[in-house]
Amino acid sequence: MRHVGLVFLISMAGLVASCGGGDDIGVVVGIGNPGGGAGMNTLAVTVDPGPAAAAGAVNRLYTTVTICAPGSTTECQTIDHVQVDTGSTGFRVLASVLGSGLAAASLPLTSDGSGSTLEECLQFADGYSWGTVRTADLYIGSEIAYGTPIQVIGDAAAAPVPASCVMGPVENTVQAFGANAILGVGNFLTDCGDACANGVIPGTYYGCAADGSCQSVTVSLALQLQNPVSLFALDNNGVVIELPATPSPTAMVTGTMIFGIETQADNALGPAQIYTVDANYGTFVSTYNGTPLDSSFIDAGSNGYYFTDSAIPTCADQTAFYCPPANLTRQASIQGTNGAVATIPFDVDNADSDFAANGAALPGLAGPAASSQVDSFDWGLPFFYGRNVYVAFEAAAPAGVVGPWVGF
Amino acid sequence: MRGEPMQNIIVLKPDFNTQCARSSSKTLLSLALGAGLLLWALAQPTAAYAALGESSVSIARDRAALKSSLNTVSMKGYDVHELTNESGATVREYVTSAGTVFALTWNGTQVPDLKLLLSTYYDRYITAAQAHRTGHHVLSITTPELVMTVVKFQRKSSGQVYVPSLMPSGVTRQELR
Repeated sequence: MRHVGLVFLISMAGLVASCGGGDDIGVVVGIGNPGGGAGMNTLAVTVDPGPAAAAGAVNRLYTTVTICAPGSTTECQTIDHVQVDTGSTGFRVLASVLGSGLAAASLPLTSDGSGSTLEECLQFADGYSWGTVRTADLYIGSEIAYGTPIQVIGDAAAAPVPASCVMGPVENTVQAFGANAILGVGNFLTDCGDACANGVIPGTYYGCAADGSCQSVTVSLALQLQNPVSLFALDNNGVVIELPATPSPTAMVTGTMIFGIETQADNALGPAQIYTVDANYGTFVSTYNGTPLDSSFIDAGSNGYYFTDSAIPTCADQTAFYCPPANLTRQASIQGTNGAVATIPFDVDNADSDFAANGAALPGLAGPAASSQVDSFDWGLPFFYGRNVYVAFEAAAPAGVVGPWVGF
Repeated sequence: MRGEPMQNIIVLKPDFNTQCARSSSKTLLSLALGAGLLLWALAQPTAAYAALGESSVSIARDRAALKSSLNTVSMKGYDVHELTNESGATVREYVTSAGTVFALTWNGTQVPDLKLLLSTYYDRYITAAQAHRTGHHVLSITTPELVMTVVKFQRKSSGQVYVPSLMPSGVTRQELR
């Protein structure tokens, strides 16, 4: 392997240890971060119909990221239609889009010396993705996240998917995934966190042997997928997403993602209020129709408002969306764990009419994807239109308030 | 925050207790209802399980073998069997007086093993998941045969699924928490 110095070592010896055994054979290798990345802290973002292979997207926010082999400025590839997601952490790229300037094999695997590699399963509500964990330098706007652990979904070098990963349809292609890559810039610094560092959780990380067999393993925080923005030298305590007001279905919307909060003039909090969120889950309480929903969240990766209101009819052809006879305005509150409260009016359009408009930006798209058990109000991308939404990272304290929090 | 050169310390290790639990607990293999949660929590193989639309005859078997606790509550017209694992994640199975699982709910960090829990209804979930347009974090299915909601946001998942035709009369989805 070319990047021997970046190869990590996984202790898999425990797999064959006796029951009384407890020796942790961890091997330590370094990864350098030479710093840098000053300058412009903005990145253009777009709501458009998506990559050609997955055309027809609505309310999906995309950007462009350049990915390089660690330490190289020539073995690089610029990836368009990278989905911007504040509901997950980490950069994940579909292997099928690589190969034009950068081969997946140029990105070092996280591996031990005996053929076992760190691979990851990512389970969504609607399916799963499977691939290797590799290391890359990410050039995002003018900022750089060196030595970032990323997932290469559908990597030809990955082991066969373990049975405990399979959950619904596989999403290892651009068509199924809906993007060429995803840039997870949620509140958390790592994708799984202490849960995977301290325990074995099927459906997350696996150590895979040369024979293709995989075992669920614990993974230290440092080895997990990282929030790329948190690895920047500067402007690394959060992001701001700014999308223009979009009062009706629109073909395409362009906006800006700004890195950092209160680090430069362009990311000052200004009149925005801070709503702290649950330190484990990033959730808060929203109240709708008098019902408090304590697992609510703001999520640029959701394409609509999703909440329960049995009085609003769903569409006959697609019951995942609401189709009121006439467009409605409703309101719900957002209450941070710090007690800050906002009342937010929002539109609930007839989704059939909105889809017929053939726009990628549908500000009134809503659906009934919550239930009495789910107890959540999902403030998806429509919430972002006409707002500056701040996402502060855990452990950081932008504006003097310890994250995680959201602001708007 | 991370601008300085740094060393990442790497230690990965399998969970020894889990490995040992498998080898010493034959009872795990016969555990029925909890198998879906068990796979979810401990990645163990399973021989038999209860699932949506199926009999719950084995629900009470050897709950001690589970790292999850099992708590059963009788409601009017049905029973609720709640499994809670060490991290606090729960799966609740709703069982008719005739012993058929008619609904499931869950709350935890991960989506539980839907292939096991949904059993013969799993294919309907697959079909809906392939067709839907609501993105990765939310899935909603409303059909005469199956009603299902899945939310997966960051490190949290919750969901509800039921079979309308199996619901005892008088039971509403609002009760399925």
